[in-house]
Amino acid sequence: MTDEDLRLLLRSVQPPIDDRTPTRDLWPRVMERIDGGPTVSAVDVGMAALVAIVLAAYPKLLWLLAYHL
Amino acid sequence: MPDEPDPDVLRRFAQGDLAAFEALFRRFEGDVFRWTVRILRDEGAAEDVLVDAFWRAYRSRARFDPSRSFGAWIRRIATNAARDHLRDARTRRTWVPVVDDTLAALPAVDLHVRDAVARAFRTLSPKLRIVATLALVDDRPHAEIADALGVPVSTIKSRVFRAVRVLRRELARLGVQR
Repeated sequence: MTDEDLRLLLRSVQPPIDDRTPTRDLWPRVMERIDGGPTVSAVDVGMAALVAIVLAAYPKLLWLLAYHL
Repeated sequence: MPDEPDPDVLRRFAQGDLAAFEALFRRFEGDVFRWTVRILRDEGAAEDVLVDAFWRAYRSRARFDPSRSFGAWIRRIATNAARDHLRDARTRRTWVPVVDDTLAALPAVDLHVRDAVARAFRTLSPKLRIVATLALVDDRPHAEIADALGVPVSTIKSRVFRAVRVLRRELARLGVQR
Protein backbone atom coordinates (compact mmCIF):
# COMPACT_ATOMS: atom_id res chain seq x y z
CA MET A 1 0.00 0.00 0.00
CA THR A 2 1.51 3.34 -1.05
CA ASP A 3 1.22 6.52 1.04
CA GLU A 4 -1.37 7.85 -1.39
CA ASP A 5 -3.40 4.63 -1.16
CA LEU A 6 -3.34 4.95 2.62
CA ARG A 7 -4.50 8.59 2.48
CA LEU A 8 -7.35 7.71 0.14
CA LEU A 9 -8.39 4.82 2.36
CA LEU A 10 -8.36 6.97 5.51
CA ARG A 11 -10.33 9.72 3.79
CA SER A 12 -12.89 7.28 2.48
CA VAL A 13 -13.60 6.17 6.05
CA GLN A 14 -13.16 9.53 7.77
CA PRO A 15 -14.24 12.32 5.44
CA PRO A 16 -12.40 15.61 6.04
CA ILE A 17 -14.27 17.93 8.38
CA ASP A 18 -15.91 20.92 6.81
CA ASP A 19 -17.79 23.70 8.60
CA ARG A 20 -18.99 22.67 12.05
CA THR A 21 -20.50 24.77 14.79
CA PRO A 22 -21.38 23.87 18.38
CA THR A 23 -24.95 22.70 18.80
CA ARG A 24 -25.57 25.10 21.67
CA ASP A 25 -24.22 28.18 23.42
CA LEU A 26 -21.20 26.97 25.40
CA TRP A 27 -20.41 30.27 27.11
CA PRO A 28 -22.54 29.41 30.19
CA ARG A 29 -20.54 26.18 30.62
CA VAL A 30 -17.27 28.12 30.44
CA MET A 31 -18.56 30.48 33.15
CA GLU A 32 -19.69 27.55 35.30
CA ARG A 33 -16.24 26.05 35.00
CA ILE A 34 -14.57 29.34 35.96
CA ASP A 35 -16.91 29.83 38.91
CA GLY A 36 -16.28 26.25 40.01
CA GLY A 37 -12.56 26.93 40.38
CA PRO A 38 -9.78 24.48 39.63
CA THR A 39 -10.70 20.83 39.39
CA VAL A 40 -8.60 17.95 40.66
CA SER A 41 -8.39 14.83 38.52
CA ALA A 42 -8.90 11.31 39.86
CA VAL A 43 -5.24 10.57 39.06
CA ASP A 44 -4.12 13.49 41.27
CA VAL A 45 -6.32 12.29 44.12
CA GLY A 46 -5.02 8.74 43.71
CA MET A 47 -1.39 9.87 43.76
CA ALA A 48 -1.96 12.02 46.86
CA ALA A 49 -3.68 9.11 48.63
CA LEU A 50 -0.84 6.75 47.69
CA VAL A 51 1.80 9.16 49.01
CA ALA A 52 -0.16 9.63 52.25
CA ILE A 53 -0.45 5.85 52.78
CA VAL A 54 3.25 5.28 52.08
CA LEU A 55 4.24 8.10 54.44
CA ALA A 56 1.95 6.73 57.15
CA ALA A 57 3.62 3.32 56.82
CA TYR A 58 7.19 4.63 56.43
CA PRO A 59 7.44 8.10 58.06
CA LYS A 60 11.19 8.26 57.45
CA LEU A 61 10.48 8.52 53.71
CA LEU A 62 9.25 12.06 54.38
CA TRP A 63 12.87 13.23 54.16
CA LEU A 64 13.27 11.52 50.80
CA LEU A 65 10.07 13.17 49.57
CA ALA A 66 11.16 16.56 50.90
CA TYR A 67 14.51 16.17 49.12
CA HIS A 68 12.77 15.50 45.79
CA LEU A 69 10.30 18.36 46.21
CA MET B 1 -8.71 31.54 11.77
CA PRO B 2 -10.59 34.79 12.55
CA ASP B 3 -8.81 38.14 12.37
CA GLU B 4 -6.99 39.17 15.51
CA PRO B 5 -9.12 41.28 17.85
CA ASP B 6 -8.48 44.80 19.02
CA PRO B 7 -5.28 45.02 21.13
CA ASP B 8 -7.29 46.72 23.87
CA VAL B 9 -9.56 43.63 24.16
CA LEU B 10 -6.48 41.40 24.45
CA ARG B 11 -4.95 43.65 27.11
CA ARG B 12 -8.20 43.70 29.11
CA PHE B 13 -8.48 39.91 28.82
CA ALA B 14 -4.95 39.50 30.19
CA GLN B 15 -6.03 41.65 33.14
CA GLY B 16 -9.03 39.40 33.83
CA ASP B 17 -11.86 41.41 32.24
CA LEU B 18 -14.72 38.91 31.71
CA ALA B 19 -16.45 41.03 29.05
CA ALA B 20 -13.25 41.01 26.99
CA PHE B 21 -12.95 37.25 27.54
CA GLU B 22 -16.50 36.70 26.32
CA ALA B 23 -15.79 38.82 23.23
CA LEU B 24 -12.78 36.60 22.51
CA PHE B 25 -14.83 33.46 23.15
CA ARG B 26 -17.53 34.57 20.69
CA ARG B 27 -14.92 35.41 18.08
CA PHE B 28 -12.85 32.21 18.33
CA GLU B 29 -15.24 29.47 19.50
CA GLY B 30 -16.10 28.41 15.94
CA ASP B 31 -12.47 28.03 14.93
CA VAL B 32 -11.57 26.16 18.14
CA PHE B 33 -14.60 23.88 17.75
CA ARG B 34 -13.79 22.98 14.15
CA TRP B 35 -10.18 22.32 15.08
CA THR B 36 -11.08 20.02 17.96
CA VAL B 37 -13.71 18.17 15.90
CA ARG B 38 -10.97 17.56 13.33
CA ILE B 39 -8.79 16.00 16.01
CA LEU B 40 -11.43 14.06 17.96
CA ARG B 41 -14.00 13.27 15.20
CA ASP B 42 -16.68 13.58 17.87
CA GLU B 43 -18.78 16.73 18.23
CA GLY B 44 -19.83 16.03 21.83
CA ALA B 45 -16.24 15.52 22.98
CA ALA B 46 -15.18 18.58 20.98
CA GLU B 47 -17.67 20.71 22.90
CA ASP B 48 -16.25 19.45 26.22
CA VAL B 49 -12.72 20.14 25.05
CA LEU B 50 -13.71 23.61 23.83
CA VAL B 51 -15.05 24.48 27.29
CA ASP B 52 -11.91 23.05 28.88
CA ALA B 53 -9.66 25.00 26.50
CA PHE B 54 -11.30 28.37 27.21
CA TRP B 55 -11.25 27.63 30.94
CA ARG B 56 -7.51 26.87 30.69
CA ALA B 57 -7.02 30.07 28.69
CA TYR B 58 -8.78 32.16 31.33
CA ARG B 59 -6.78 30.50 34.08
CA SER B 60 -3.55 31.29 32.20
CA ARG B 61 -4.55 34.79 31.11
CA ALA B 62 -1.78 36.46 33.09
CA ARG B 63 0.79 34.58 31.01
CA PHE B 64 -0.76 35.69 27.70
CA ASP B 65 1.28 38.28 25.81
CA PRO B 66 -1.23 40.71 24.17
CA SER B 67 1.28 41.43 21.40
CA ARG B 68 1.03 37.79 20.24
CA SER B 69 -1.76 36.06 18.29
CA PHE B 70 -4.69 35.03 20.47
CA GLY B 71 -5.95 32.68 17.74
CA ALA B 72 -2.69 30.72 17.68
CA TRP B 73 -2.52 30.68 21.49
CA ILE B 74 -6.05 29.35 22.04
CA ARG B 75 -5.62 26.79 19.26
CA ARG B 76 -2.49 25.46 20.95
CA ILE B 77 -4.33 25.26 24.28
CA ALA B 78 -7.23 23.45 22.56
CA THR B 79 -4.82 21.00 20.92
CA ASN B 80 -3.29 20.19 24.31
CA ALA B 81 -6.76 19.77 25.83
CA ALA B 82 -7.76 17.43 22.98
CA ARG B 83 -4.57 15.41 23.46
CA ASP B 84 -5.32 15.14 27.20
CA HIS B 85 -8.84 13.97 26.32
CA LEU B 86 -7.43 11.22 24.07
CA ARG B 87 -4.92 10.21 26.78
CA ASP B 88 -7.62 10.03 29.45
CA ALA B 89 -9.84 7.94 27.18
CA ARG B 90 -6.92 5.62 26.45
CA THR B 91 -6.08 5.27 30.16
CA ARG B 92 -9.70 4.55 31.03
CA ARG B 93 -9.98 2.31 27.94
CA THR B 94 -13.20 4.07 27.02
CA TRP B 95 -14.40 4.22 23.47
CA VAL B 96 -13.30 7.22 21.48
CA PRO B 97 -14.85 7.13 18.05
CA VAL B 98 -12.48 7.22 15.17
CA VAL B 99 -15.35 7.12 12.73
CA ASP B 100 -18.11 9.26 14.19
CA ASP B 101 -21.49 8.33 12.78
CA THR B 102 -22.61 11.94 13.04
CA LEU B 103 -19.82 12.83 10.64
CA ALA B 104 -21.42 10.81 7.85
CA ALA B 105 -18.74 8.47 6.56
CA LEU B 106 -19.17 7.53 2.97
CA PRO B 107 -21.72 4.70 2.79
CA ALA B 108 -19.89 2.84 0.04
CA VAL B 109 -17.01 1.91 2.34
CA ASP B 110 -16.96 -1.71 3.40
CA LEU B 111 -17.82 -2.27 7.06
CA HIS B 112 -14.77 -4.47 7.57
CA VAL B 113 -12.50 -1.72 6.23
CA ARG B 114 -14.12 0.89 8.48
CA ASP B 115 -13.61 -1.34 11.47
CA ALA B 116 -10.01 -2.09 10.51
CA VAL B 117 -9.18 1.61 10.11
CA ALA B 118 -10.78 2.34 13.49
CA ARG B 119 -8.73 -0.45 15.11
CA ALA B 120 -5.54 0.71 13.43
CA PHE B 121 -6.09 4.28 14.63
CA ARG B 122 -6.63 3.08 18.17
CA THR B 123 -3.14 1.59 18.19
CA LEU B 124 -1.65 5.07 17.65
CA SER B 125 -0.54 7.09 20.66
CA PRO B 126 -2.51 10.35 21.09
CA LYS B 127 0.30 12.48 19.70
CA LEU B 128 0.64 10.30 16.59
CA ARG B 129 -3.11 10.09 16.22
CA ILE B 130 -3.52 13.87 16.26
CA VAL B 131 -0.87 14.32 13.60
CA ALA B 132 -2.21 11.46 11.48
CA THR B 133 -5.74 12.82 11.58
CA LEU B 134 -4.78 16.40 10.79
CA ALA B 135 -2.13 15.64 8.16
CA LEU B 136 -3.41 12.51 6.44
CA VAL B 137 -7.18 12.87 6.71
CA ASP B 138 -7.76 16.62 6.82
CA ASP B 139 -4.69 17.48 4.77
CA ARG B 140 -3.71 20.39 7.03
CA PRO B 141 -0.31 21.96 6.31
CA HIS B 142 2.54 20.65 8.47
CA ALA B 143 3.39 24.20 9.55
CA GLU B 144 -0.15 24.73 10.88
CA ILE B 145 -0.06 21.46 12.84
CA ALA B 146 3.40 22.28 14.19
CA ASP B 147 2.18 25.67 15.38
CA ALA B 148 -0.84 24.12 17.09
CA LEU B 149 1.30 21.53 18.86
CA GLY B 150 4.18 23.87 19.65
CA VAL B 151 6.78 21.65 17.98
CA PRO B 152 9.05 22.09 14.92
CA VAL B 153 7.80 21.10 11.46
CA SER B 154 10.50 18.41 11.35
CA THR B 155 8.84 16.76 14.37
CA ILE B 156 5.51 16.70 12.53
CA LYS B 157 7.14 15.09 9.50
CA SER B 158 8.71 12.47 11.72
CA ARG B 159 5.39 11.77 13.47
CA VAL B 160 3.55 11.47 10.14
CA PHE B 161 6.18 8.99 8.99
CA ARG B 162 5.83 6.93 12.18
CA ALA B 163 2.02 7.06 12.07
CA VAL B 164 1.96 5.89 8.45
CA ARG B 165 4.27 3.01 9.32
CA VAL B 166 2.06 1.90 12.24
CA LEU B 167 -1.18 2.29 10.26
CA ARG B 168 0.17 0.39 7.28
CA ARG B 169 1.42 -2.44 9.49
CA GLU B 170 -1.86 -2.67 11.43
CA LEU B 171 -4.02 -2.55 8.32
CA ALA B 172 -1.96 -5.29 6.71
CA ARG B 173 -2.29 -7.37 9.88
CA LEU B 174 -6.08 -6.86 9.77
CA GLY B 175 -6.20 -7.99 6.17
CA VAL B 176 -6.78 -4.62 4.47
CA GLN B 177 -4.71 -4.45 1.29
CA ARG B 178 -5.10 -1.99 -1.54
